[in-house]
Parts: sequence; C-alpha cells; structure tokens
Amino acid sequence: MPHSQKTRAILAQLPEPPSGPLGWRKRFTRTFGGGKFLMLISGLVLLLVGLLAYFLYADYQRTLEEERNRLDYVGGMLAEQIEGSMDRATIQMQPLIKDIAQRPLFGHEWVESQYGAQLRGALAEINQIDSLVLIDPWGKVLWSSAAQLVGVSLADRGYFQKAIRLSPGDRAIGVPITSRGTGRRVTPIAWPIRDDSGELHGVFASSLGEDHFETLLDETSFVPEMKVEVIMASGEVGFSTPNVTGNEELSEENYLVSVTPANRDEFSVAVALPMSLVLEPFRNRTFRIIGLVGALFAIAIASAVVAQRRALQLAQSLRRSERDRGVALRAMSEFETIFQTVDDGIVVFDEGREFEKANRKARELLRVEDASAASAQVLAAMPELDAKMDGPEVFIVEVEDPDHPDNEPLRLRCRVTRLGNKSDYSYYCVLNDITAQERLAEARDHFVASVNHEMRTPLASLTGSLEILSSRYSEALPPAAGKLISMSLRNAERLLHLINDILTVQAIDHGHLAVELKPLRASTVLQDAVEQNEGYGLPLNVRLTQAPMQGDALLEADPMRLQQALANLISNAMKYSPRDGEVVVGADTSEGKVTFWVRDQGPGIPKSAKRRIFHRFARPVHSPGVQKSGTGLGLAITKELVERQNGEVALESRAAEEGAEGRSGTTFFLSFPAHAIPARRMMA
Amino acid sequence: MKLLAVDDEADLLSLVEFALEIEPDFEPTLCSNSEAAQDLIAQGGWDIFMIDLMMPPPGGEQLLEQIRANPATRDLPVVICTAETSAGRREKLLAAGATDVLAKPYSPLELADYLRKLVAGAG
Repeated sequence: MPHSQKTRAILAQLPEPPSGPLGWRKRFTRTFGGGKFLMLISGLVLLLVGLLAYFLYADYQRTLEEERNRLDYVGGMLAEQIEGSMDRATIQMQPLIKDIAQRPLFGHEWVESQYGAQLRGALAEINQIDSLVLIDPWGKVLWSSAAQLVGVSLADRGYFQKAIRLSPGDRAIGVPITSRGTGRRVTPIAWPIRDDSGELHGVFASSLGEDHFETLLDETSFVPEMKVEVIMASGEVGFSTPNVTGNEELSEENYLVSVTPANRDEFSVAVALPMSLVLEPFRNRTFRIIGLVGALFAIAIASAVVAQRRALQLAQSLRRSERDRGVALRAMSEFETIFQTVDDGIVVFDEGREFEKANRKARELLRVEDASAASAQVLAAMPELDAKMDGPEVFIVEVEDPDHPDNEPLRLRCRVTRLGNKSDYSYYCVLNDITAQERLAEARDHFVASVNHEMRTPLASLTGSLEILSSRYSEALPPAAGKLISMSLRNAERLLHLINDILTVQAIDHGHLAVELKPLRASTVLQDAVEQNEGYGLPLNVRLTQAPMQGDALLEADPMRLQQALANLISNAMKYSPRDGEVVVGADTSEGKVTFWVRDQGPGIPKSAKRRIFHRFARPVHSPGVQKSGTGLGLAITKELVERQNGEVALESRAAEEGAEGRSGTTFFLSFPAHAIPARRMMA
Repeated sequence: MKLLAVDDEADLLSLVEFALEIEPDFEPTLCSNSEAAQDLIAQGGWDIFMIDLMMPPPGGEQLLEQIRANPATRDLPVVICTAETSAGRREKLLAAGATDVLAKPYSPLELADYLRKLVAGAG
C-alpha cells in the first residue's frame, strides 16, 4: 500500500537533506548559533581590550614617571657635581688670587718673572680649568697660558665685565665661546683679584676644562644612550656628553628630558634618554602581556565556540529525535489502526511468549478473548518449523464451529513467518478462514463429479445403442434413417468431447492434472499420433501424412497428455482442411529442441487472432460460413498441457482473409527440450 | 464364457446384452441389483465379471472385495466400469484387485474382443 496522506504530510515536515555548500551566513549561524552568543563573545572581547588598554596606559605612565624621576635625580646629582667642581676650582684659585692681590702688577715680563711658575703650577694643579689668563683692571691681558693672548684687550668680554663687579671669592661664568687659540668650545670662568681693602687688581680668566667635565658627565651617565647637556644661564650649551651631536634638539617627542637648575642659577643640567630606550621595558612587557592574554583569550573563545557548537548540535539532534519520535508515534498509531481493522487475523508473538499481540479479527476467528489465548491456539496447531525457514509456512488451525449441524470444525489457514535469531524468534501469523472456500470447492468438485457421472451414463447408452444400430441394422433401414443415425452418433461424440474438455480444464484449474514425464522417442510419438488420428479424417476425406524425419531425439513428456495435445491440433487441422486436402505432421530435432508440427491447408488464422485462439471459449476467428463447431477449449487445453510438460506452442499462418489465396494454411509447432539418445539405444 | 454384468443402470445392461447376443461363445447374466449380485457371485461358476463402480451399496468396490476374498473367484478377471476417469481413481482400483478399468462410454462393438482378451490373459 502507498503512504497515506497523513504519513506523506509527516514526511514533508522532515528536514530536507543538506544540498550543496552552505552560504557563509548559514555556516556562521550554525557555528555561533546567532545573535546572543555572538553579542556575548563580542562584549567579552571589548571588555578585555578595554581592560588591557587601561592597564597598558597606566603602565606607560608609570614607566615614564619612574624614568623621569630617575633622570631628575641624575640631573640633580650632576648639577651638584658640576657646581661642586666649580666651587673647588674657585677655592683652589683663592691663595693665588690673594698672593697676586698683595702688590700692583707691572707688565707681562714682570708678572712672568714674579708669578710665572706659580701660575703654571696652578694651571696644572687645578683639573677643572684648562687655561689661565691674567687681565689687568682695564682689560689688558698681562699673562696667558696661551701666549698669543698677551697684550690683547678683553675688556668687552661679558665674564670680565661681570667679574670686575664681583666681591672677592666669587666667580663669574661666561657665555661659551669658541676658543681663538685652540678652536675648541670653551666656557669662560672669571674671578676678581681684590686686595683686603677691596681694590680691584685685575681679573683671572680661565675656561672650564671641557675634557674634565665631559669625563665627569660620561662617568656619571649610567647608560651609554643617556645624553646630558649643561646649559649656561645665557641659554647656550656649555658641555655635553660626547653622544650629543651638533645641533641636535632633544625634543620631547623623541626624548624623555629632565632639566635641573643648579643652585646658583649659573647653569642647568638637561638629562635626556631616547624615548625608545625609556619605553623598551614597557614595550617588552606589553608584547608579553598581549601575547599571553591574547593566547589565553583565544583559547577561551575557541573553547566557548566549541562548547556552543556542541550545544547547538545537541539541541538540533534533540529536536530531530523529538520529531522522529512524533513520526514514529504516528506511524505506530497508523499501524495499530491498520492492524486492528485489517480483514485478516494477525497474531504476533515471540519465542518465550513474553510479547503477544492479536488483532480483533484474529480473536474473532479463533473465538478467544485475548492475545495470549490466540497465540496458544496458533502455537498448538503449528508444525515443527524447519531450522532454515526459507519462506512462510502454511498450516491449518481448526476451531470448533458451534453453528455447524455436523460439528465440522472451522478451518483457518495460518501463514507463519518467523524472524529473528534462534534464541529470540518472532512469529508473525496471518489467519484466513478458508472453511467456506473449502466447503465451496468441495461442493463444486462433488457437483462436477456427479454431473460427469450423470451425463456419461446416459451418453454411454446412447452412443452404444447407436453404434449397434448403425453396424447391425443399417441395411434394414431406409437410407435417410441411416443418415440420421450417423448424425446422432456424431453429436453424441461431440457431447462426450465437451465433457472431457470441461473435466480437463477443471483438473488443470485445481492442480489435479497429473502429468507423468517419461523419456519418449520423437519418432514413436509421431507414429502413434498418425495411427491414432488417421480415422478422424476418413469421413472428411482428408489425408493425414507423416513427413520423413531427419534423425531422432528423446524428449521428456507424458505420453497420454502429449497425444491429447497432438490429437487436438490434428483434429482441428482436419476440420478446417478442404475436401481431398492433406494434413502433414512431422518432427524436427535441432538446436537442442524437438519440435512437432501439424500443417493444414485451411483458411489460415489472421494475425489479430493469433493470441486470442489460445483463450478459453475465445470468440470465433472466422466468419460463420468458415468457422467450424467445437468446444472452444481445445487450443487452451493444448497450450496448458504442453506448458505443463515444459514445452511451448507456436504457430505460423497465412490467412486467406489477409490475401494468401491458394497458399493459405496454418502450421502449429509444439517444441520440447531435446535429450540425445544414448548410443546403445540407437543401435538397438 | 460365463459373464456376470452388474450395473444399476438397466439400459447399460441391455446394451451389453445387445452387444453380446451375436457372440455365440458368451453366456451373459445381467444383474441390476448389487445385493442380488452378491449372491450370484457366491454361487460361482463365472469366467469373468463386469461390474459398475457407482451403485447403491454395496458398490463396485465392495463386490470386487468379495470376489477377491473368495478363493473360488480370487483369480477371475474383474472389469470395473466407471464414468469417473481420473488417473488416481484408476490406479486405486487396479491396486484393489481390478483386472482393468473400463471408462464409460465404451464401444459395444469392441466389447466381445476386449473381454475375450482378458479371459485369455487370466487363463
């Protein structure tokens, strides 16, 4: 049976199987399960990025702050050292100043002679200075460590002007200049030379030794990249670490700069570190943190995605199984409905009879109340089943019939199918009440048998009487009476034929037709056929001749049934032959077949009727003038008989109706599988 | 040749009579009552029996049984006539002791020769 509409509706609800690649949107949704989960993940990512940014920013600020503090400290320390260095130089110069302030100064040669050695000694002794110039109160150089300056006026120099106003023990720092003598950049320093009364005797000028301070700064720097500049009050750079080149600006962009003014505002110290260096630990830390946090977060997100996916799959399969359950339930209820309402009795049970089920019809047929009694009754009647059951087994279950006058039982045909393993067989039994069917068949058989007897008995008297009459008294009767007698005899024989044919058809339909196959020689079959049927043609004036055979072969057939089939064909052929005509029979043995044939010179069979003529009581093939009387069963019986003997029936015909004038006729062929004749028998 | 023909159908008995009346070697006795036939069989002196199968009891089979049970008649040929033609029934009758089974309708013209052959065969 096809699916009911309900089942089809259920099937239509099932999801379509996926076809082709999914679109990204679908795939995305399948992976992430849509909006909520995505929002959650995005929120977490944003939060993490925010926190990370805040943390990094704080770390950046702290790093800068720490470095700046360090630079401030270094700057302060340098300023103190430089200042201390200048103080020391000033103190070291005081004895010389005091000494020179005792007397007036008289020209270069005098100073040279009086103080030359002392001045050179001081220059050598005081590290902080790398030159020494003695200037008179008007600005003229009286003595200089660089000889070319002697006699030159330095009255316009800032440091000189500053120094002549200073009180004893003080110092003046000048604007850094490029030395005329050495070409080097120098920062002038000057001390006033005053006696005890305060009168100015001159000015000592010198330059702060660049080498000394550079070494100082260099030694104080704790990293090679650190740049230090000493900026004089005038704003010009006095000294710097050697790594400060030319006009380089220590911009805030590229450098972290700390400027510390000295106590006396003579100069300030700028300490700078390249930003790249300052931020290097920060950068390293950042990379590490971002890497670590990123990796952790990626793992967390991946886990979440996997978990989400699993959850989605689970949900999906839950939905699917829920739907499948629905389908199964409906199918079950549908099955139950069919099971209960079907017109066959059905009993199902398993080996241990733990599961037993019987539908309404089965309970009704077996006249029991429940499934257990039903299966018990079926099981009691069931024969021992073969271990290898190829198909369903059929047996009869007899049930008492209270309505039957003779207490004949009801007979139920049970068709059992066994499924499953040896230890766990299930039996499916389908029950049909065949009582009525069997009783009907019995009644019919009885009817046919009695009709047969009742018809044959009077027919036997009739034909017997007519035969005796025609053979013994025909001479005593008028010619017309003889004709009437032979007509009666012919019709009595026809009636007998009809009865025989009906009985044969009945036997075929009931499977009672006994066919006993025996090895037969084709030549013998043909000879018998000619002998048995020759007589039939005499009143019709038709000859029966046998075509010569080429070789011989054995076939398996029932001799009586084969002759019956051949007799049908031969009698038909004779009936349809013209007067003085000829029917030829023959047998061919070739291609593993034995083929008997019967050829007539009759009107032939039109193509349209070639199949129909083998049907029982087929409508006439020929027009009323040509059609001969018959039972309408002959060819149908012939076909059945031949097929029962593993043979085939065929025919070839040229019908007069279809324009085969003068050459018309029909040949019927009966072919059977051939068996070679064993050599010894051939010789015999 | 003494023949006992038993058949409840009187016409068929007449037919046997007609068929054999021109045969001087046949002495047919016709009996349409199977009960009476039992006595005739018991009297003895027969050469061949021709008995219808389907008669009111005792039927043909019972008469056959009686003939075969009696040592005096045991070896005589018995022809059972029947309208039933199935192969199974024929085999069954032959097994029960019938010499041959003659299907109705048979040709009365060939009856004398047929019976002679059977008697010759039995002798």
